[in-house]
Amino acid sequence: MGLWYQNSYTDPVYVAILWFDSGCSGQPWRKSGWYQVAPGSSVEIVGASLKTIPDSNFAWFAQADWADGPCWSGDPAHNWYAIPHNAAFSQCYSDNSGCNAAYPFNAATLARSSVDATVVLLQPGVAGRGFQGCSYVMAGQPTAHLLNFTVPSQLESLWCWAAVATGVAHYYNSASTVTQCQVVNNQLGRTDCCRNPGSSNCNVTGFVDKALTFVGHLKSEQSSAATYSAISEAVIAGTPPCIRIGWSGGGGHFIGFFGIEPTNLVWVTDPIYGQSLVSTATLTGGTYQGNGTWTNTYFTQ
Amino acid sequence: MPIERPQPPQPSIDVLQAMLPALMGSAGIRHSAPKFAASLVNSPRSLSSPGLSYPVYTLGLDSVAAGARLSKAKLAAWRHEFSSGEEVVAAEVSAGRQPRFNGINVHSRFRSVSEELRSAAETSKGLADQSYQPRLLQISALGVRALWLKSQPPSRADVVIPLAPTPPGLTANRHYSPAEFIEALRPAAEALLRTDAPGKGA
Repeated sequence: MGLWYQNSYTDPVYVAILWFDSGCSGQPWRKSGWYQVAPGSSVEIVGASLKTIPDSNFAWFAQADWADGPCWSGDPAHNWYAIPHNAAFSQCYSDNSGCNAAYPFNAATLARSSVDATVVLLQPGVAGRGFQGCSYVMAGQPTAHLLNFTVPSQLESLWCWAAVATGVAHYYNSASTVTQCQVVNNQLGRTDCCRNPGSSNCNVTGFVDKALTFVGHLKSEQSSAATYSAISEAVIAGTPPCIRIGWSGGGGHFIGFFGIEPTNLVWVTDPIYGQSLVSTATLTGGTYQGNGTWTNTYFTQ
Repeated sequence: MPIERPQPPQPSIDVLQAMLPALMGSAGIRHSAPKFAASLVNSPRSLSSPGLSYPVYTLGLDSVAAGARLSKAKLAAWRHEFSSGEEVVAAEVSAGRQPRFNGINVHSRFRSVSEELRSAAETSKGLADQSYQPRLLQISALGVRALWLKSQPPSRADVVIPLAPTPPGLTANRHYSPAEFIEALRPAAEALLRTDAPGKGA
């Protein structure tokens, strides 16, 4: 819970803020930045309940693409703040060490009705000018967030469970060397599935919960669909959930979620069908890829 | 081989057009399908003019294992394809009396259905005297997709062309009769049903 920035622009955005800090002598404000927000993603910049913060006023400035790029700026007559031009910083307002630039910040006041608020960044304006950029603040957590999580293509016709577990392992640890056939060998208690992956002993259906346990990333599971808000929460926390699809007429399939969008839309990554934006009603209503229904949910960590 | 261009139902197009604000506002679409996203901004009515629309039929594992006829396949959705160079986007709207937006695929691992149809038309000289209406047949439990060329008039034989990648037992791009196609998949369907269990997947 806290203050979030949601980048709904096409390019990376960098945010600087001025936030109340009673630990700063003289002027009780801390300036910090530059928080990078990838396109389509969100970042929690202040982690505290906004209902209980001592001062709900704050100020912020954001720029896209590069230092001194197109910006979201405020009143140039009153809110120029000195900060480092192109380096990470976190220092009291009165401390100008390393500050080699000044920008007109947006002054804002947060409502105390919600523990979270999100600044949604739409289109930036002209660099170097005040009152630039299009943005709005909304109560609650971000409504759009994308993770850099991809389930790879399944290497055998029945290996969706191994593909999903491998994708999750590589998401959490880019140095992971686990492969689909290793996941299969583990679950089947075999040693030959990397040599003979297509054999009838190896190319078989499996359980993704066991596969996720093997790669060390199963947090919890439930034998039902989850709510959109539970999925949102997991995605925003950077922990992509996976689900099982049950086909009408028998059989199942595993896929992962890598993003959320407003109005109950979710991004799925599928080891057969690739990336799609689907409505949760499609998943729960039995029409995913024609006749698939969301039957199980697996949260990861 | 003359392949007719299917005419999508207007309610399906209307549902798609109603998704314009959500699709235009989607950062994920801008990121994954930038040309499609730009076309929405430059020409908002472009959603109503897909490059190709086709019906999607599905068949369950139980039907395949029972050796069912293709007439058992259910019309599940209409898919609307938008191509711009290498970038292919396929939006899907459910079939039925109350069509609903199912989703939009922006990064398929397959060739577009437009390309598959072009390829089928070019390589199917033996069927030149026949006219067909294209459908996409999905047996999702087996990960199978196939062009189902419905003969026009319906009294003549249909043709089923599995699309790559295919599971063992099927050959991509080969022409099957509907009965041959089901027979080729039957052993795999029976085997999957034998090992099917809650919580399992393929």
